[in-house]
Amino acid sequence: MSELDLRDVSTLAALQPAAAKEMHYQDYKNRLRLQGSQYMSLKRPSRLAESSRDYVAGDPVNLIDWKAYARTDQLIVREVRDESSSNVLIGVDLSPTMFWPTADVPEPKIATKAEIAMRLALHLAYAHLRMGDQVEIRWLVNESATIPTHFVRPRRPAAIKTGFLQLAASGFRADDWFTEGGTANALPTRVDLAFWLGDALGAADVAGFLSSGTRSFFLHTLSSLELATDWLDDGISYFDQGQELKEYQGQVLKQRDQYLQQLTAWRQSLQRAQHQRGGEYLTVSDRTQISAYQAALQAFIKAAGKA
Amino acid sequence: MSFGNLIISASWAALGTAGLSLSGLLIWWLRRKRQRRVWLPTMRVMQLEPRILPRIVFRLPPLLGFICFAISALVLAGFSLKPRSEVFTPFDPNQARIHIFCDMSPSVAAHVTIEEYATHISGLYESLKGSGRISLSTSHSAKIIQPENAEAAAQVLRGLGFQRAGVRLGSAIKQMVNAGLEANRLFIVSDRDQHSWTDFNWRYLLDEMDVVYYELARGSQTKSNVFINDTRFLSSPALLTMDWDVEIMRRGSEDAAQGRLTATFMGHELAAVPWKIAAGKQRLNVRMSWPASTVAEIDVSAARDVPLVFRLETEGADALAADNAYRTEIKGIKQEVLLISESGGERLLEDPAAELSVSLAIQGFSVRRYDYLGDNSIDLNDFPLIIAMGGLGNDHFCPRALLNTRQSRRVRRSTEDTRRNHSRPLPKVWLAPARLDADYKQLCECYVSLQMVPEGVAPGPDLCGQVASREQWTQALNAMGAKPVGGSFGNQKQVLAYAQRNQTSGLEVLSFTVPLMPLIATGINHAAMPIMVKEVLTWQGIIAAQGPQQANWPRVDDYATTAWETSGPKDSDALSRIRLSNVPIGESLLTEIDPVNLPQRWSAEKDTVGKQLPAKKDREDPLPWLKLAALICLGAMGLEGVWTVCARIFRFIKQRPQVASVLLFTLIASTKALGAVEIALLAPRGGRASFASLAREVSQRTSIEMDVKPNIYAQVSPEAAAEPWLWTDNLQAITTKAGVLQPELALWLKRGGLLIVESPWQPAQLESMVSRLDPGAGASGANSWRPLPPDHELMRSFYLLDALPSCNGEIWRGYQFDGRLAILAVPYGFLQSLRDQSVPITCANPPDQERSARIFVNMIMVALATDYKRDQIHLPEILKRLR
Repeated sequence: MSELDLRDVSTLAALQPAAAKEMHYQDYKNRLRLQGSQYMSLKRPSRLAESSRDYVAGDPVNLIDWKAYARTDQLIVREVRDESSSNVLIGVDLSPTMFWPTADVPEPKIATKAEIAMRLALHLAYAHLRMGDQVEIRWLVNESATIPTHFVRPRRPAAIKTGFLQLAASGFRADDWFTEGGTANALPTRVDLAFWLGDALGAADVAGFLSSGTRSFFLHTLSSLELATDWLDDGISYFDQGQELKEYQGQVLKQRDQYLQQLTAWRQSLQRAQHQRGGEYLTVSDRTQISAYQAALQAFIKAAGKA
Repeated sequence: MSFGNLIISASWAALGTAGLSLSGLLIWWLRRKRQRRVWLPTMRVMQLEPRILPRIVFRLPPLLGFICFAISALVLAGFSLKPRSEVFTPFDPNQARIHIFCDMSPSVAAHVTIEEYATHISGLYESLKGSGRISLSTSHSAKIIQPENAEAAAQVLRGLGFQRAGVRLGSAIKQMVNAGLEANRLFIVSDRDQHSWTDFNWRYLLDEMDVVYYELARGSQTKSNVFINDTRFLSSPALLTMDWDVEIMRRGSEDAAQGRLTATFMGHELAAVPWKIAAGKQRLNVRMSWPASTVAEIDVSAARDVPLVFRLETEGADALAADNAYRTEIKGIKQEVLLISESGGERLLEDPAAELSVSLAIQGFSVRRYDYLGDNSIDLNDFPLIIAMGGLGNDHFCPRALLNTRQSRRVRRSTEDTRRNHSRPLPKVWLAPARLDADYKQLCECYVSLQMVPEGVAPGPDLCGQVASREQWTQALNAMGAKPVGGSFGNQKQVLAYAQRNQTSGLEVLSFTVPLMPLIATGINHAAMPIMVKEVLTWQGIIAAQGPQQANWPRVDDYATTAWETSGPKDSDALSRIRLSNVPIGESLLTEIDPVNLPQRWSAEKDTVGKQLPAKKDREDPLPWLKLAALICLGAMGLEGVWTVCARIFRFIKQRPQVASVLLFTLIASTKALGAVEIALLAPRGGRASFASLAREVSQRTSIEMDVKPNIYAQVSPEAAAEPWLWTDNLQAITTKAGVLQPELALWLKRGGLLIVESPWQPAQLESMVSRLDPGAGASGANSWRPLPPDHELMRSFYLLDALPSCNGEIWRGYQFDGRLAILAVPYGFLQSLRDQSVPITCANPPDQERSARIFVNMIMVALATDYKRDQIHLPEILKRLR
């Protein structure tokens, strides 16, 4: 039995790229078609092969082209509305702070922030590729880097699936994250959607990255351990060697909940800044329910599509 | 090796302590509680108060615990301070006095040579020189020296060498202590020789100083030693040979040994014989003999100072060389006697000294005879005996020159000759009349000149003026204080001689009153003459007593007592004689003392110098104080524990007073705790029975404890009505005259009692008996006597019984009342068969003991719990068990 099986399958720690496609019918009717995440207001029937797609479980049966089925024994769903593809930019922070919790944390092994970010990035990429969008994934590995220079532009959802399987097999190591791809010193000038997955602890210019998108979504990726203090030991000191060394004992962190208070204040400041940019903000962790994430994502995409 | 003899090296102790400390630090470092640090990235956005340490909260400690702690701390502090000031007294080398006593006894030579000994002392000096002032003494004398350096100490030993006399360490050191030896530490350098350590109670010195034993003999192997134990002179003076019996002994070996034994006198080897001790033998007597003429050829004028030396030469190993030489006085040398007597004519007939000369020759003397003493050509002191026979008209016989010689000796006291002569005893003088009618006046004058006149004063004639006859001569002798010799007490006429010793000069003169010749007038015949001479010689000590002549060269066991200056002034000749004494046998045996009885041993090697012993009285064991403190702490902890428990109980009672009340009431009200099943017998005739074996069976088979003794009731009393069951074999006791149950018993049965009725009974009696319980029983049939069915609770309450034993065609009957078994009728004496003194069952086919026991157990269960298996209160447990 693998480690994944022990996890709560309802949290982001078990998120897979093609997970949870069943949606409410009305939502399904209004989005997620063949050409992109942005659908056109003009509806146009089409019988072109490229306008159809294979039936997947959960699709309404009245959309099945039964004649085609009679001919080919394949369930084909006909799209009835034209859609347009979006340029989606997904930024992932893979700096060292994202690979926390490390082995010295005296807690049961949980998924690192990087793993959560990778899962989310692949899920977003897969979803948008399935929606026909143009997806570019960018990431940075250096803590001092301000913009993610590494990029990859996957073309097919299958590539995402394959990549995910490799990552899952290797334990979501940074070395297995998109070995192909290139580097670019500048961000794309303008994209329709911009996602940033990171803990905002490094030097990455999150605001600049998200500002490149017409709509942006900051998925503030933290660990569930960072969001709680009940696991802290009073006798153990906790430190971080950033620009300056900060080290406190667990009991100090827990005194008057000052750690949680400051953490909440920090998150709220990030959220305010993101809202001021017109984007969305969501703190995700390995304990975040997939449903909550999807709800926020659907709301974001729906709003973006309408825009 | 005992632990008490160990002296721990200071450097090794420091090294060990350092090692232990480092290992402790290492263990602490490995086991220390590390301050664990965990990386938490979100810390970089934290701006927390820099208060890391937790807030210290002051709380009042428990009063009793705090008092105990305070007392313990004070006790520890108080008791710890006292030993600290004494234990760790700074060591001051200038104040420490170290004395090294070197045992130079012969046995030490068996282990080390004098050079090795000197090396040992040198090394010891080097080891101790930084620890204090070192003084040194040896067993040679009580003289204490302070050598300047190690080489000087070694040189002292080299100069002295080993001694031949034995040493008693106890007396030697006692003399030194009494003479004012002041030392904080006394090092005794010796071997383990038992002779040396005997009677040495060194522990009494520990109050004054530390006694340390420096062992010279490091090897534990037994060494073989051959030595001369004794010599005996066997010859009589008249024999022509000198025969000696030499006893050779050995220790430490069982193998055969051989060698050569020589006898040397004044540098002349008299005899040499080979000897061989057979394997397994420890003793050998060797006879040595040489012609007397061999010694006669040697100038024996100084023979009294020169010993006869027997020397042992061994071919094998010999541990000790000193005891191979054995000194003894020469025996058998004919001593010269000066006889001054004018010749009277034909010898034997007319010569008065002829018979005396023969008698002296018989005793081994060589008689030198002079008619008179004319000049000083001869030294009278060379003769042990001077016999002057006079009274023939001149005084040339009187050895007055003896006095002159002694005067001249006083003048020449410092010369060597004087020293030699001084050791020799004065000659003894015999004065005897030449014949019966001799001129006794001349004899008297001679006697007066020898005895009465002080030296250097001319003799006066007054004392002897009236002496003309023997009687007057004896009276004069008596008057001058001479002691009579021979004759009868109080009869001066029969006195043979008068002896007197000059207190000033020491000259002893024996004046005979009769001529020393056989005479009828004197009663001295030819046979008695030699005997008389011998007796007088023996009495005066000129010749030794009869018997084998034993060597008398000294054998000094304790040199300190014998020769040290503190034991009194010693003549130099005597000292030299002691130094050349024979090795005492205790030293030669090389017997070792048990090391447990030795002082602590100095085990320092040369590479571990600098060891320091605690100075005198500068330490005191703090362990008792610490133990006392620990006991006080333990007592305080115990009191604290008792106090805590009592306080908790008190608080609990204070919070739950009802519990305390219940407990108190229970304790007061409870008089008897019923915890056992008792057999209740309803027997009007009484009688005691015991059921020990049955109770044991019940206890082993079930969890029920049963009393050995049954409760016996004469009638249905209130106490009997409290019993759960009643046994009876007498229907009259439980029924009225009408044959019905007594009302009290019927009421008891209705309340739930179980009545067991044993035979004899009749079915009709049973029927009539229960009419009081259920008058309508016959009509309804609900309550009636019935045989016990196989599924009755009595058949399965504990054991599964297939049937109950019948007796003579009669079966067990049970009376069911209120749905339960109320009366059980047993067709035979069931309970009697289970007694310790069981009554045999008068049935055709009586049940065995096992079956009866099982039935009884089932009856107990029915009496206590009725049909408990039908009680649904047990259903949950039964279901749980089934699952």
